[in-house]
Amino acid sequence: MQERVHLTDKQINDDLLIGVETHPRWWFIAVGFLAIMVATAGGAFGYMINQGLGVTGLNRPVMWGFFITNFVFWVGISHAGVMISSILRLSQAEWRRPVTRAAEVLTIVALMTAMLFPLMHTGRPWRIMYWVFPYDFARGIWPNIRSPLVWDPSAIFTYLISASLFVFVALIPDLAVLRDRSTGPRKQIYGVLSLGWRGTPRQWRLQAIAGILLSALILPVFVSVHSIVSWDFGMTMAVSSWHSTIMAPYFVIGAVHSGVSAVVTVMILLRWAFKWEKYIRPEHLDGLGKLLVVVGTTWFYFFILEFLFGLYSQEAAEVSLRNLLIYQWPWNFMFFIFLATAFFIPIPMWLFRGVRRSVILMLLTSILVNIGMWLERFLIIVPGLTRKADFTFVWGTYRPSIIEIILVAASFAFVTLMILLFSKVFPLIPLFDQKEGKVLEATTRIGRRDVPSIVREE
Amino acid sequence: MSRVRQQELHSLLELPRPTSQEINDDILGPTVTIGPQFKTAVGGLGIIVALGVAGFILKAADGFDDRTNWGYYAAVFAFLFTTCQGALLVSITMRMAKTHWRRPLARVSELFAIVGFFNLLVFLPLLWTIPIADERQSIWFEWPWGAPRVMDALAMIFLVINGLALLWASSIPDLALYGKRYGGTRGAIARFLSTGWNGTPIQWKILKAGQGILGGLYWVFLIGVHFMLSSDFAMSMVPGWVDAIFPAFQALSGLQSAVATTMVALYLVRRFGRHDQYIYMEPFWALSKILLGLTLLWFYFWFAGFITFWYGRKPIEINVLQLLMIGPYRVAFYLAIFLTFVVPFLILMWNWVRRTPGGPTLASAVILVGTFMDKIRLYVGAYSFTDQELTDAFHHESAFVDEVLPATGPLIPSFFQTNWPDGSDILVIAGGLAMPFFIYLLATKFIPVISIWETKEGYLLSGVKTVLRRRYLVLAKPD
Amino acid sequence: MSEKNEFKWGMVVDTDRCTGCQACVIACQAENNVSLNTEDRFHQRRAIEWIRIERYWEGEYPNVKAKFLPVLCQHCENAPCEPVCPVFATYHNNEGLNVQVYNRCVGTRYCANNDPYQVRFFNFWEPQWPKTLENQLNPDVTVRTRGIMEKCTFCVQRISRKQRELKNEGRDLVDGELKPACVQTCPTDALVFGNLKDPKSKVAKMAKGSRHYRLLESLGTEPNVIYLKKVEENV
Repeated sequence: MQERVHLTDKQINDDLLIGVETHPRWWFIAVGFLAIMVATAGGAFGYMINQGLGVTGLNRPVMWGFFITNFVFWVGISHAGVMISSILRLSQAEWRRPVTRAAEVLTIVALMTAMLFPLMHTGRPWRIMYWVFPYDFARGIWPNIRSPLVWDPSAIFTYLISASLFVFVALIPDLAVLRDRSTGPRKQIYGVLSLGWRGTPRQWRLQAIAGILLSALILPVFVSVHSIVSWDFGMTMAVSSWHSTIMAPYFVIGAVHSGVSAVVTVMILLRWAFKWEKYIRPEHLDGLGKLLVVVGTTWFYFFILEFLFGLYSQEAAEVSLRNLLIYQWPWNFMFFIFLATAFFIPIPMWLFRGVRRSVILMLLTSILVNIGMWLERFLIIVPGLTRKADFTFVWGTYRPSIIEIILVAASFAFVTLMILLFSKVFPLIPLFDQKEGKVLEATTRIGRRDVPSIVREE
Repeated sequence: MSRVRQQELHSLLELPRPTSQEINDDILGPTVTIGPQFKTAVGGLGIIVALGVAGFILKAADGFDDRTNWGYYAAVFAFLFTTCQGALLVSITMRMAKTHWRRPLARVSELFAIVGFFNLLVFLPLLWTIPIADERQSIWFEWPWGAPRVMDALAMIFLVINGLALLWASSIPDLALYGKRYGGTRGAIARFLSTGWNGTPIQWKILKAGQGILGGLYWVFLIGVHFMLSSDFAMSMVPGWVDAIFPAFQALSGLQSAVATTMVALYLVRRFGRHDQYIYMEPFWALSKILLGLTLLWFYFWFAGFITFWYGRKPIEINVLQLLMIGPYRVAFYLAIFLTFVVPFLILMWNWVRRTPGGPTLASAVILVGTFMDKIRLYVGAYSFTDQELTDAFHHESAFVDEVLPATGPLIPSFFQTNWPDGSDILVIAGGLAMPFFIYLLATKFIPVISIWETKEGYLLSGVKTVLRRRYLVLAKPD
Repeated sequence: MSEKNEFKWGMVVDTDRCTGCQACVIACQAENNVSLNTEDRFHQRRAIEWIRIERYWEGEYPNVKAKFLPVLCQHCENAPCEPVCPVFATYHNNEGLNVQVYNRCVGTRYCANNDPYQVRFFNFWEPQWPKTLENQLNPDVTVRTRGIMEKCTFCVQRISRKQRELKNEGRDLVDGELKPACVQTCPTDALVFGNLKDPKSKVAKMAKGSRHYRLLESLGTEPNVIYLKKVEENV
């Protein structure tokens, strides 16, 4: 049952622009603290540049470790925005409305964070121009398009650009509201950004068409990004457990699983920080919870396929990898935590309506999922390398160094910091979407009950 | 400032809203009348089905030892399984998602449960054509007591029972109505099956919960059976084919062809069952959007498997690609790619096409042909190995190492030869493809092909609202 | 041999002759300016050995034999490490060598991941030598900086020097006159190097022997390093 809260347009503006228009002390304390964390990570990175990658825990054969795990994790989180904004928009799910903006912003911020890590992990980061940009015109040597590592930046840049466009198109009407409500230089900046928006029917129509077109066009990008990230691993025939055909859809659906969970976490934190109880209601968490049950179960199905068909091949490396994951400390502990947090605790809980509508339980379970999904990436990447191919004499192990831990931890701080900064400049719940939802509300009287209804646009 | 966009044509809006009595008459009427067209169709299809049975007998007379003889039979079974037994998912899923446009097609897709029962009969002989799990690669890892045969048979039987139970559960209110209106044996059977249905709130609650549980179970069983079939009857029959996405790809292909089957059935019911009043434009439109998405996903799943093999370039991977895509069954494979992906994509990408009944139906029919080609390249290809070759490959011995592994040189090993269909194969294919039509036609005379209670519920929960001289549909969303 | 350019370098490793003395490992370190593998490098699992000896045991007690397998870059014809490099830092040249361009390498370490033989090495630290050893560095070989990959080159500096020599003198290569450091040092002649395209060369003949096999053949990498081993029936 949907609850109906009746709000005036003025009240919606006041409530949702609270982040932009008020300046509470907690915001400055939080930003200061996070900035210190990020600065610490900057120092750690500088130290790593100065000393070389020897300061990490990487070794032979584990050439990729925490950095790449974290890269995959954040690319995964970035799938939240499109999943929510684009797919739910196309399928006309009403409960998406307050969730979209925060999800899209999370997408952009997570992508920017993710991009840093592969660059950071290279041996000579000052030379990455060779790779990411085709700059070597003079010598006529272009990046090697057969390498999945060249597909990566192409996909990620495309995704970043289209996701930014997506956010911007949805921001225009809200920017106009901000323009009308602010003064001085801020008014001028918002005025430029809102591109002369006056809310004429034609402008609304163009904005709606742009939104729907972008929703549809961004979907292939959305699927391709994580598929390509998965092919970094899937194409690696020398690492038997990576070289699996399931990788692409397994990564994509896993990304949606962790991304949507991250949106739940962010929404609940925003609700608490900005007192948006009237906007982010249990019914929205309910919708996200149902979506997560489907996504999580599908993800688990792919996980089973991946796990089982590794054994099916009966290759020494694959069997020993499963042996490692199930029987050997500390991998078995991590594997157990991963399974429990990514699937066995949250999914059965979300089957219950009471849990889906409980703010605190949703916060806890959504955080659990992301702990599990981080471990999932780690358990795909690192044990696969430690049990590489059939040569037992090159099997090894890996242990992260303090530098890697600091940089990974700081990535979480960086994402939080960016979202907080964004909230100071733009509203994190779309004002116009909220008002549009209100227009489409209706009630139908059936017998003696008033049933909430919606007016269909199409 | 409202942002309601310009209203498109809405078929449900334009249609007159019939009374409860009219609905009963319109839908129940055709179930008891049998026209000449119906007789001709049933008679013709019956003859083709009989020919198919003859083809099966011819094959069975040759015995089950020569597996290559059963390749096309397996493909026909897999095709029927993918399409007809998957079709139920459309109504199950859309009922779970509480969409309103599913109402006209709910029963249309659920009636395929009866086809599923007959497909079980097609399946059982196949169990004797596959080797047991001990001496080849298998997902059963030398499981005791006759796996994979026993497990596959059990899973399939449960799936069929589940499907029939679901059909029964969703037609109880309609059967009760049928029993009240008509006497005779059929009325008595309907009354018996409706188990004292009075439509009390408690009964409705139990019914809906039951439908939900059976629907969820059907999903689980169907994905499970897809998993077993694709690994026991296809993947593990080809030496060295390790393809983790394959069961998921087959399940996805199952969803795509399930939607396509439902669409074709919906079109035929609308066209020949004269249910234009109840099958309006919305289900075609909504279903074709889903079909477009699934079509794109089909390509994605196929490509995800392909690129990994292509890039890996291990000899064994090159071999599998040769067998299934560029070798003896390449014609079937190219047709499959064209007909399940390229052509339907080009048709379905246009919004105006998706709003006609003909466009999506054409795309669906094309997809069904493509799916059949896909099954041929997979199953006939997989059935071209002997037990000995599978065992050798499992133990990495003799012929396998000598002939298959160094395949980077001469690309097509000698034993990858195309099996063209022979006489009995053609009979089996014709009979197998006629079977669902035949069974379905008969079934429509026992169970109303449009769900009466869902149609009525739909009219109850939707209304028309006029804003600024324009009519809008208002859809109630009860919990 | 008619055309001077027709080379396809290859090596034969006769494991039945290898005594596991590790002379090749030392020779390679010295020839190719490989930094010193101190004890802590081994503990970090970051030691760099372009050629290494893997030891394994064959047979059941009491008929146990220690066997040695020298592993070096296999210079695969179908090398998995090549296509994955985003900057073309590794590629296949027309003489059958898998070559590494140090200047282009940015250190993504993808090639090391996609290398089934584990013969590619990453410079985690800046290479350093004690003052006393600095003068023994080979002037023909670049000292690799930290952050890039390196691996066996079949002593490409010797190959190109010899090719220049042949060109100046206008003659053909005599089989056996060109040897990488490891082959030169091997006391038991377990390692043989030569031109696989020349059917009369020692490597080409040995590679066709009945004992030949290649490492991880089922991966289809088609190495240019061929191993010889007598298969013993009753071990």
